[in-house]
Amino acid sequence: MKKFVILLSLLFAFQFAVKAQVAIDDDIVIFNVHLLETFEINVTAGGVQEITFLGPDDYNYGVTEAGGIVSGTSTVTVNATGTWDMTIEADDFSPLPGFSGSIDIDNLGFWIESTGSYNFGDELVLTNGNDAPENSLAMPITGSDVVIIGNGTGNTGGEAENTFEFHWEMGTMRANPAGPMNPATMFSQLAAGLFSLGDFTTTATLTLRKL
Amino acid sequence: MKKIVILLSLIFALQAPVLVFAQLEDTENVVFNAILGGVFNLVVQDGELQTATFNTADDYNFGISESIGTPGIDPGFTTVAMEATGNWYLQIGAPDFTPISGTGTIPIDNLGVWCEATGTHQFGTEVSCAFQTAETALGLQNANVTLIDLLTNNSGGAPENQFVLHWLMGTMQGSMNIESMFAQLSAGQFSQGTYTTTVVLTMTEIP
Repeated sequence: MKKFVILLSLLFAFQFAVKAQVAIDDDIVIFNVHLLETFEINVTAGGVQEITFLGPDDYNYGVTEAGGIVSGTSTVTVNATGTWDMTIEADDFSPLPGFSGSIDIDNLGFWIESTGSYNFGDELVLTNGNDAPENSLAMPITGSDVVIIGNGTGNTGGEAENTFEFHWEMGTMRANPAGPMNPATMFSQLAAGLFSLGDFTTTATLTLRKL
Repeated sequence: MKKIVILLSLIFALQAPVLVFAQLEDTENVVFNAILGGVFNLVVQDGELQTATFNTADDYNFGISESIGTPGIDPGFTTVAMEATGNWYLQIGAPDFTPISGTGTIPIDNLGVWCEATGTHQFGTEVSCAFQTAETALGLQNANVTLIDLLTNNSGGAPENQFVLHWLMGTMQGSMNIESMFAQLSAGQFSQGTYTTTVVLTMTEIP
């Protein structure tokens, strides 16, 4: 009788266990992700700047985004899967047909503001200290290979991290020791016959370099 | 003796009609026992291997899918079918991406999925799914998350229970990782390289 009771108990327990099982099936999907290298620099706004010297103050003291240069700023973004630095260079301004002389490129200056999440002094290095109007750096002449933004604690990142506002000036004679702008006024250079009244142009080239 | 003869005669006389009636009708039975065993089968019909390639700044900044990025995610979708004699629900989960080359790990919530019902069972009728568009995509987790659930009755075969899972990566939609792949890369979460993970789909019977 005792054996019979035990047998029945085991039978019930087994049935319970069987009934408690829930059918499960599974399958898989395999994902392989390739993170490839990319280094891009883009001028997303302000790719063309119109600089107009109109009155004596413009010739004597220069022009900025506050007056004389439209738009006066350029937005530059960097997307880099590794660390990087940036150079800039330009030829002297050359005259359009019908005008004469050339304007030295050091009459053009700029300062840089970091508007992404990376900051100068942390992830980034502002190589020449041109972080405000009074510290504007003269545009380097073509071939001078001047680094303007370098790597700090690690500047790998996209445009959310690496966005910059370039502020342009011309004829303001800023005296940044790393690259002083032309100390002579546009008036004195005009008077000296370096260039005439008229229309001139140049193209600045920004270069992103993988480190 | 006479009595015995009479008695035997009566017995034969009675038996004869009985035998005649017994041969006029007969019956026999064939018993059919149909055993409908429970079947719960999950099948990945295509798209078992997915290759996601981040190739440009836009890929890193905005993410990729079957239609975003070049090549983006190839093929970018997976067709699954459930053959079930009862009701069921489907869960999904995966470990973080681990490097084949490169360093660090890619959190699995950078991978997203949304569902399309291509069988006769439809979302809102027989089944439910909270992730029916890219904008409401599920960011995968290490633990299982229910992807498709029972609404009324979802037992059926592949013609009824067929679904296309659309994959996203780095698009920051729905419950996916809110940071761009670039931000995570720049934060040192992972480097350039090749990474892999295996997504597990689990179908479970609802008793």
